Amino acid sequence: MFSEYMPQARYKISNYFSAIAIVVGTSIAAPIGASVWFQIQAIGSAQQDNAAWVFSQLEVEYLKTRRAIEVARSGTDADLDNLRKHFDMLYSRTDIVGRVKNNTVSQPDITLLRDILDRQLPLIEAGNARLLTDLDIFERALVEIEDLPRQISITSRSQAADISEAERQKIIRLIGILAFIVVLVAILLVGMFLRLWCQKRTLKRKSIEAHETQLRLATTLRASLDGIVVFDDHGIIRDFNGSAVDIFGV
Amino acid sequence: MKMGRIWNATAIGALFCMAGYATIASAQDVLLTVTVDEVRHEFSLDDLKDLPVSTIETTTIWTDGLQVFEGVAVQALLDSLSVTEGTIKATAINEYAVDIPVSDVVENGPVVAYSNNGQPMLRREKGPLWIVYPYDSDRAYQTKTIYNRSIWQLDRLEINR
Repeated sequence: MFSEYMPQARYKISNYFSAIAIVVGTSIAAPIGASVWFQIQAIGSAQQDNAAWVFSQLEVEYLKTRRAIEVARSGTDADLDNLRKHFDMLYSRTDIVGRVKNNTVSQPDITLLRDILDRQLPLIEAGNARLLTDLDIFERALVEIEDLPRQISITSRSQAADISEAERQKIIRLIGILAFIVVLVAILLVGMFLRLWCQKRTLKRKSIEAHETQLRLATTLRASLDGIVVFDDHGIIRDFNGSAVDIFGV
Repeated sequence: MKMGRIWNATAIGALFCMAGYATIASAQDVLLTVTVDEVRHEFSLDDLKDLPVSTIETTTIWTDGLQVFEGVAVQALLDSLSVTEGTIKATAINEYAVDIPVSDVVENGPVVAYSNNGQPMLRREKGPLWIVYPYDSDRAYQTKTIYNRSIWQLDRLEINR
């Protein structure tokens, strides 16, 4: 009796263990899976423009504006308008650069650049005659800030690279943990499958044995010379043999 | 009081002077040139406003908060020129150029916007024309490819059939 009980106890313990492991595994995997999902969603939609392009364009527009100042010394309306056009491009680029996310290190430089450009607005918006007269003042203002566009570009790109690398590492770590848990749960599931398969085989064997026993008993019943009638709890006849038929003459 | 009036008059005068250059064009000046197979079509602000008006309410990565853009749907613009196929090359004032596939030109798709939150857009602020997509309406519009096509300070469209 004792020896038969032991394997059942072992089964129960290992069943509990597997169930607990799967529950724990899935409950750890679920939040990590959700986190990976949100990260994938975040990557799925671009949160901002191409930062490298935005910063390079700031430098390009600065240089174009400087060149436009030289050209505008001709004093023609077209050249002065061209200078205003390039100034507007530079101004709009400064605004775009200021909106690049996670770009804290360059913000003071961007604010300074914006302030200096703002101070040029009255001159840019003045008539052609005044703009031409004060071109030198305008040029000096731009010369004073000639290092800023490159400085903004360098520091911003460096910070953007650090942030992007940190995010990449975070995603790699999350996927690594997730993969480990998935493998663990898969191993447990395979283990449970094997166990169920073994149980199925045992059950099949037992069922064949039970069937054979039943056949043996039936044959014994039929072959008996004594009359045998089997009743159930309610007095209903469940089985009888040939001798019983002979005795009762039914 | 008298001094105040003089100051006001000066301020208004200065504002008009500024407006002369700050708003880059009058309503009749050509803002957009559309070339269809070498044939030039010029559109002033008034011409664009005569076309069916489309409104997009969306946030953008270049602005703060919900924006209301008014303009002409690219589809409506092409319809007005009887263009149904071909490639579209959009070029900005600073010669930034981008190809817009015809597959983008759908109903409730991109709009050539001429006003932002009810105000005309200055050249200094991505105006006077800006191709805006309804970014919030579909995640497919929140990609770097679409951001690249969202060309501002637009002044030319070249269509080859």
